[in-house]
Amino acid sequence: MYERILKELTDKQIVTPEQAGKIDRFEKTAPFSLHWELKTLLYLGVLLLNVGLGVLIYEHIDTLGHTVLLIMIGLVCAGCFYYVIRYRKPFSNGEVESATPYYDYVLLLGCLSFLLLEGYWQYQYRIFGERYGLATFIPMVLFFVLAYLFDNRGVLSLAITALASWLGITVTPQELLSRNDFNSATIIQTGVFLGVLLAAIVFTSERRDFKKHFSMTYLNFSVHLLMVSCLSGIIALDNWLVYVPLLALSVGSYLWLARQRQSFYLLVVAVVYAYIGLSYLFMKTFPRLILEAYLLYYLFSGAAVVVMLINHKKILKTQRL
Amino acid sequence: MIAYPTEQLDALESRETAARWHEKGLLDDAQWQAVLQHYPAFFKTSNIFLRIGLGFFCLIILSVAMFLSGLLLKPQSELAFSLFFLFWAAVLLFFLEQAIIRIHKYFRNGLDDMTLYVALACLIGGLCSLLPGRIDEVVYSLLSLPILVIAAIRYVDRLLSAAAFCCALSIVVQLVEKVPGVAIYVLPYAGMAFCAAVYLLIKRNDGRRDLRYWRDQFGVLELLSILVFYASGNYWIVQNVTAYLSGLEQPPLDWFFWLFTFAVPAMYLYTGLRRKDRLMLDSGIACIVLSFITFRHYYHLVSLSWAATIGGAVLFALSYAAIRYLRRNTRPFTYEPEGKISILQTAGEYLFEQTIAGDAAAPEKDKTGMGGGAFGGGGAGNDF
Repeated sequence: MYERILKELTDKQIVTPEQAGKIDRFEKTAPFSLHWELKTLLYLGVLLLNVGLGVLIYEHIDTLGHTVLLIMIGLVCAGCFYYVIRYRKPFSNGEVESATPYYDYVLLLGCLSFLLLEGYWQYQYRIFGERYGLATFIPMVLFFVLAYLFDNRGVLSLAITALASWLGITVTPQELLSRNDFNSATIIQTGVFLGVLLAAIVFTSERRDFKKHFSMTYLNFSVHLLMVSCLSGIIALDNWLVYVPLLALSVGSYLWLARQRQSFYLLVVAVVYAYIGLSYLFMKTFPRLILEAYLLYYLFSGAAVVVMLINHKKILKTQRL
Repeated sequence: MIAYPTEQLDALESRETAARWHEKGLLDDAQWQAVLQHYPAFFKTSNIFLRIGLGFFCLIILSVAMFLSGLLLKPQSELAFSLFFLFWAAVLLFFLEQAIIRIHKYFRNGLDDMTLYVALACLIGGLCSLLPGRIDEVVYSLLSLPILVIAAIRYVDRLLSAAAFCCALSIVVQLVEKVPGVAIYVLPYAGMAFCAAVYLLIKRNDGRRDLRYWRDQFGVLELLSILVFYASGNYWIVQNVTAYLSGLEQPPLDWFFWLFTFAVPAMYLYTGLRRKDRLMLDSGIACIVLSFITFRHYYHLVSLSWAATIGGAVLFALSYAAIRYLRRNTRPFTYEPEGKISILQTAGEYLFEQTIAGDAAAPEKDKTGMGGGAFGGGGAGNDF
């Protein structure tokens, strides 16, 4: 099919005949890429291995000796970390290409088995005693260090999750573990705080041109955390005074960020959350209207959003299609 | 025949192909600019996220508008309901053709897709409710099929092509099911024959110049026929359908279906690699995974945890070895990614990363009670 286009381009003298020959050769002989297939299989392998090992420990905790199990997982973990350290590339503020194709997965496997190891240790020997915060604090610090050192976004996601749970735990440690109902206001405030914190990390790292390609990972966690926390503040806590302005501010900031980064994703996400919030406020403020009035609200507000999204070029100031 | 102006579809294709060459460094920037000038984009297509957002809000508007008009008109009888839906179908199709496509020149931007889907749902729903009450289900499918096919052709829409495929398949299945006595013997082969026919038809017309606008749709149909062909003979599916239809525990010729379950994916893999056919290859990988799950469903050779551990280790080792090999031998296969990473692949990567992050963390109880969002799960390492 490309032949027609190539001929047209040559006829229009955009492409010289020699170049056309080169393109033709490229199309005919280009090797077939198995990149995505193999990459997916690697991911699947790491995931399955981790889940399988985790369950194995549960099942054999009584039959196999604890020491044997600890040593087994420890060996996997140590082997992975040895590999990543041995083959690592020099640190850079920008993006570092993986030293080998499987590098990222070995690192990931190492981190996951570290979690297994640590969890097992705590379960069996209570190495951290009752200081549960420490149990998440250690992997969090380790993962952040590893993510930056070896430039890995997957490990960064792990680190952010560990950070979230560490915050959750230190705020209300006992409740979380004894499975009581915990004060949701605290959790929501933590959510807002963490959302802002993650966005702040992006802001400062971009200013210093430090690991800019991590931004989207942070922002993706941040935008959902922040918006869901604000919405829960409005809906569950019924605290409009605080959370309505907060939601408006968050939406505004993310629209601004979307424009800065020319990100359609952030634009759409911010608009959807804002719409949910707005519709809830409308329904709550006017609880006794006739059905038609609500329908008219959805009709016109929906149309307004469509018009806004259609005119995204003015919002994002983008030249892209 | 096509609702969109075809010369612009051609221009779009030229731009996309040239963009690929530009990414590969075969065209320089000046040439790329020249291409953009020679093939101006009349269409307004959307980024995938924008398309989802626009489609979502379009659905809200249309359903609310229909609901409102229903409240005003208050259709009482069944006939009135049908006419109501047919009226909306006509309005929406007219709006789609005249306003969205002709004046605004939208193409796959979310609004045109959603308007089309809602219009067709109204059309098919309206026509079906015109039919008398006690009627065989197959009539509904027979009625929908031509509508879906015509719409898929006219609006070059992939989802509609898939819907048409499923509709045709359901007609075949429903008809075979009615044959007394032999349904359970014939059903799997009917499914296979249908898929094989679709596949061969597409392959025979592959690369025909006059059909170039529907190439994406052919891809969807090809993928569906490959997957459904496998599904028609997969042991688990055959066994369950047989048990449902006749109460037999074991399907007749069960050894054949076991053979099929493993031979077909192997054949897919082989052909995929041999012909460099990505659809075939990827389907082969997916089907092999499904085959192992099927096997594991009936024969518990090892416990689930061992199966996961061994499977994971094998997968890891296999792909490790394959990548190692490919890095030394770059032809005819390579590990180098093909062209620039598409936005969907990037999104997939983020999803993967966050799945792993969420999966690694121990599942604590309902952590926030806020629902939804991207909370990747709870605390690591205190619930093991």
